[in-house]
Amino acid sequence: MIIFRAWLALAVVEWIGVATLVLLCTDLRRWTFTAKLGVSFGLGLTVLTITLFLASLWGLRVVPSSGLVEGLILTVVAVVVRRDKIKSLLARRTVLLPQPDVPAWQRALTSVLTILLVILCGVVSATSLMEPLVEWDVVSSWSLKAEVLLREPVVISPYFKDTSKSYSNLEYPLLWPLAMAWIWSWTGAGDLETVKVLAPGLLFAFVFAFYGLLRHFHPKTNALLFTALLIGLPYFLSQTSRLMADPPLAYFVMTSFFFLYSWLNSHHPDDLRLGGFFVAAMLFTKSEGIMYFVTLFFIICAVWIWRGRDFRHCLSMTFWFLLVPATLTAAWFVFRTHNMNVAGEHSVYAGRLGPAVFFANFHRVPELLISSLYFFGSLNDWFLFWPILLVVLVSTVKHWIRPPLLFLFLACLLPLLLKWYVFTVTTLSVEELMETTMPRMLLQDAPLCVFFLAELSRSARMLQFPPSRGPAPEVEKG
Amino acid sequence: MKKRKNKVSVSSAKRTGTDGSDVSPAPLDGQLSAKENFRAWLFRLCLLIMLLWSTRNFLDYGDLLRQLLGKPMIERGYIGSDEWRNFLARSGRIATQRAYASARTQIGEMLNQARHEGRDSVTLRINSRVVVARSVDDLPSDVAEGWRWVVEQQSKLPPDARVYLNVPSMQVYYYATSLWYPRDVDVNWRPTIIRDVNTFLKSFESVGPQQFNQLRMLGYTHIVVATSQGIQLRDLRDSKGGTQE
Repeated sequence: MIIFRAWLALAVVEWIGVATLVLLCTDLRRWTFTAKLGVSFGLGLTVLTITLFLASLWGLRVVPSSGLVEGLILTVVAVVVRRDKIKSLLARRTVLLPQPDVPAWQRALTSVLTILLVILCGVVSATSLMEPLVEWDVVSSWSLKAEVLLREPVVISPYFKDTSKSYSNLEYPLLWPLAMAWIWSWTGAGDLETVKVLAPGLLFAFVFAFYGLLRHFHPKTNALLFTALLIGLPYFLSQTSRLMADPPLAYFVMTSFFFLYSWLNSHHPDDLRLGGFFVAAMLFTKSEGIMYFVTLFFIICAVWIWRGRDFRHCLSMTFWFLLVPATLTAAWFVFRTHNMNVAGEHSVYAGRLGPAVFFANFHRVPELLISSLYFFGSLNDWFLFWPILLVVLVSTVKHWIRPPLLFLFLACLLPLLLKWYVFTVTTLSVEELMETTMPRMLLQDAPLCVFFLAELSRSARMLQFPPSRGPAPEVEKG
Repeated sequence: MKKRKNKVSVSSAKRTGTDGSDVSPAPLDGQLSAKENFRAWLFRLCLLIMLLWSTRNFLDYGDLLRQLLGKPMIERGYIGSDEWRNFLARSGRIATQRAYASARTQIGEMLNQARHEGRDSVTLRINSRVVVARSVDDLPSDVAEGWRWVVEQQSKLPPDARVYLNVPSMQVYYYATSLWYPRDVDVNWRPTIIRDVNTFLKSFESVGPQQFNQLRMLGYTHIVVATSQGIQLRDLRDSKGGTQE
């Protein structure tokens, strides 16, 4: 019964996400049903947790009724505002041209990949549900915050100023702990088992979103191939099943940059709105989200240079990708800064980010790079993914050197460079830093890198199966 | 773009199809050059290898699931946090993975030697503990034992308990502050800053039985002490609470 309530809590997240999706999108037929399912979960998490945080600031505890009321309001508004669009929620994506005959071997491959994905996700989910919350970092950092949030509103909680718990990273964002507290609010108390429903929830949302979004650009078989490639990565699976906060960040990073890339190709306003919400989620999931936000800022500057003459579109992009996320998460950043000042706690990196410290610590760079290679080449965690990506990158320079693929390349590379910069200026030992941080850093980038690989393979025709959408149709100059 | 057969002319502002759907840059038609063809086949081969390799996940997760099925929660949690038995607990930790691989090799060699001598196990001394091991799975895990102990004690603590941790164990501190929440767990009765193992050890203040009364007056109801039987939780409110060593 308790586990049933936990699944119900997850269903409410999806419900809020679907209502938000209907509200944000003017044309739901652009996406496959799987994409809508997967993206809705992320949107639901974003909207629900930001609202729960604001309510907590207002003095309200995390309770099921908050989410139910929110879901109800969003649904009513969606029905009133977008009544004509709701039907297309379940509609198939618009197909431009009739699908050419698919060879038998390709149909067989599609079936094999689908079965592989379903069984793998099933086995991993079952294992995750059987294993209680044990991961050291999750228990000491994320679930502790979730316990706090479940019992008292953030505005009166002494936890955020308690320096005896600084080890739990008091300044870390609250999306994931609020998601845990949300599940517990339905089951009645913090426990080590029911909260694990978040793991299969996220895993399936990841699979649906990744596959569904890939289908926007790729034929079915290719989309399945790259989804299987991502889901088969051992480190991705292990961290998702253990409820670490890096997989949700990786999900939001992937969706944020996907929608930016999609917008650069389509200029459809829906991409901007969805992207803006996912960027906010990125900032509210982990502190590393700030680095991705900085990356986004640089890319947006580059887009201004590239397409500056298209002033109106560039302004919309800046508004949705920078201003909206900053506004949605402003309350969190004010709260965080206030508490850190009261507690006298400052990030180990604060005040060390200037170039002077970087050059003074430059001797760490070779050691950092050499240590990093071990993690890139860790067969146990990544198989051959990173070496393959590197080889493909080297052999397809002429394809990714031009926009918009160049922006995807920058989206993958810049966060790594920013993190290496931070690793250089910090006082922590390289060995300790690498062991605890480097694999997670790679994980946060991995889904976006798989998407980039898929786009590279499309551009360089490395997987040229018969396309399901056919060639692009004639479109006359507007 | 020069080779594209189905020429697409779009405005610079909007690339949409007739029905509003996106028209992404479509794959180019025409023959691949020999070099491109070779690259494409190599890429497909790499993908195939990756996919075949990823089937290893079925074995790993299937084996772990088999170990977990039918066991009570405490035991499942022990297995879950045991870095020797559970590959998930080693995931991403290269130093731990190396230590595991090295221990496996060494114990394998020792077991081979023992079998020649007619024994099926080896006796090891690890951190002053004597362990009889038949495989690497028999090695003790401090993390798993810390998790199990904290979870087992949870039910013994009243909701308003205040616990003094008189053992310099960072693991127990991490797990207890979280799993026993909202009960306070302290290693010093004065305000402290605990960021990591160094600040933890610096903040830790050991107390003797003669100071237990002082702890009671400060509102502490329980104390965690190290005894010859291992770590124990004692009730300071008992008349003999915490004084037995």
